[in-house]
Amino acid sequence: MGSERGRNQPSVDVEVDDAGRIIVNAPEIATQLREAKSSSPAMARTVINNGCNLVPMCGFTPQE
Amino acid sequence: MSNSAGSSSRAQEAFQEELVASFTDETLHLIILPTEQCNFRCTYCYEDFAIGQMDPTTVQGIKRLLDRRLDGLQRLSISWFGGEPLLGRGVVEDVSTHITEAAAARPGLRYEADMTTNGYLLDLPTTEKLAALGIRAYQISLDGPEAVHDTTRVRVNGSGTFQRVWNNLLSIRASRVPVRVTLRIHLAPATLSCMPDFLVQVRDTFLDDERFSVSLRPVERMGGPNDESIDIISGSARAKIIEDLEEVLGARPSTSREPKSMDVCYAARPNSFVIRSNGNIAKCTVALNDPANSIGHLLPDGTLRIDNEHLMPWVRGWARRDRNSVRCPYVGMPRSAPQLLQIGPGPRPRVDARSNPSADPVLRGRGQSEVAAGRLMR
Repeated sequence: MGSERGRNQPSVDVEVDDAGRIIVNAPEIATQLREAKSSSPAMARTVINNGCNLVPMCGFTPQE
Repeated sequence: MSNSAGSSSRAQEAFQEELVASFTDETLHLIILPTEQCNFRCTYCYEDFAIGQMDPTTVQGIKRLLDRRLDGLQRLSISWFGGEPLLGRGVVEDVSTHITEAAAARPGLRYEADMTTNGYLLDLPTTEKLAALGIRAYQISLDGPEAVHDTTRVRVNGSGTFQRVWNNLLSIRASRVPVRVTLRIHLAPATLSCMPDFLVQVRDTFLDDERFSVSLRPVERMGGPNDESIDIISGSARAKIIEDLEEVLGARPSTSREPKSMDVCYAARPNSFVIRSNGNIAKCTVALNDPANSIGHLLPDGTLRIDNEHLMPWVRGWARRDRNSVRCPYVGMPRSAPQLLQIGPGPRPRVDARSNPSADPVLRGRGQSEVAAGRLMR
């Protein structure tokens, strides 16, 4: 997954990879997405970059 | 819970919903310009028609991009724009056929497509063909009754267009083709007096058919070459004027979409991209000539080369919970060069060309037009 996701630019709040998939770097957005997920279990996956090479944060699971 | 606390809670929920909708990778919204040529020369238009039909390598790039993403999508939304998209009908059909064939193998995928068109080429056979390819929502502009419409919405040769467009609409009305048509009716000070009678005609001709709806939109100075001569309805008067005209239209809501608690522009959504006919990637279909709107390029193999530093200003509103910036990220966009364009009736930014040679007065005011907002905010 990491190689597909393209460059990682922590300097920007949000980036997209070379297929247009979204990578969230901003903690403010990540927090809001977590809050939304906790209130809405159907929330789709978004990869949050927490400095862990684009590994999804705990609590986010891919939609089946 | 008090009213204000309840209102605040709903506002927060609305923001969260839009945030999730904008950041999900399971939704992809592409605004595709199959050509930036047009068969009309509307007097208030901002586009310069410099770019022609989409070349085959860009079309291939779109298909390859979709091939890469389709398996992970639950929702694919395609908006056709231009220029006049029906001048690039071959591209529209080519890409749409690719999508419908792929969607047939993916029952979990919700595919929807819409088109903003001047309607001149949207005869019934065309509408039926495109509807079969999933394009089932259309926005078509009318500037008033024929005598009025034909002074502003003219063909390249200056001739009128009303009769042809109206007849196409009548053909759709008489058919059973499963589409929705939004009649976007432009309002300007000089045409207001004729609007009540015209809206009665529109109401009586189309609005008993649930496929049709009306959206009343004041004409804006959006940067076209005729901006200085365009008279617009003042901001303070608009709400009352629209309210009065909507009464003429009758009990059915005249807006083309359900009212939402929060307006979000497609340009603010990270999962929305504009693919121009030359393969360049943009965020906004209004500021087409602004370098800040060019965020990358689509390669023939479906790779998006995106400059994320250029993307960032368009999506800046989410981290800050700035509703104004998500409603229109172009307004107030942080930039290193002066703003070349302005949307809306407010005072123009003053630009000193001596200190900034890039502030070419010829470019000022070019490149803006209000998009099919209702269609492009999905």
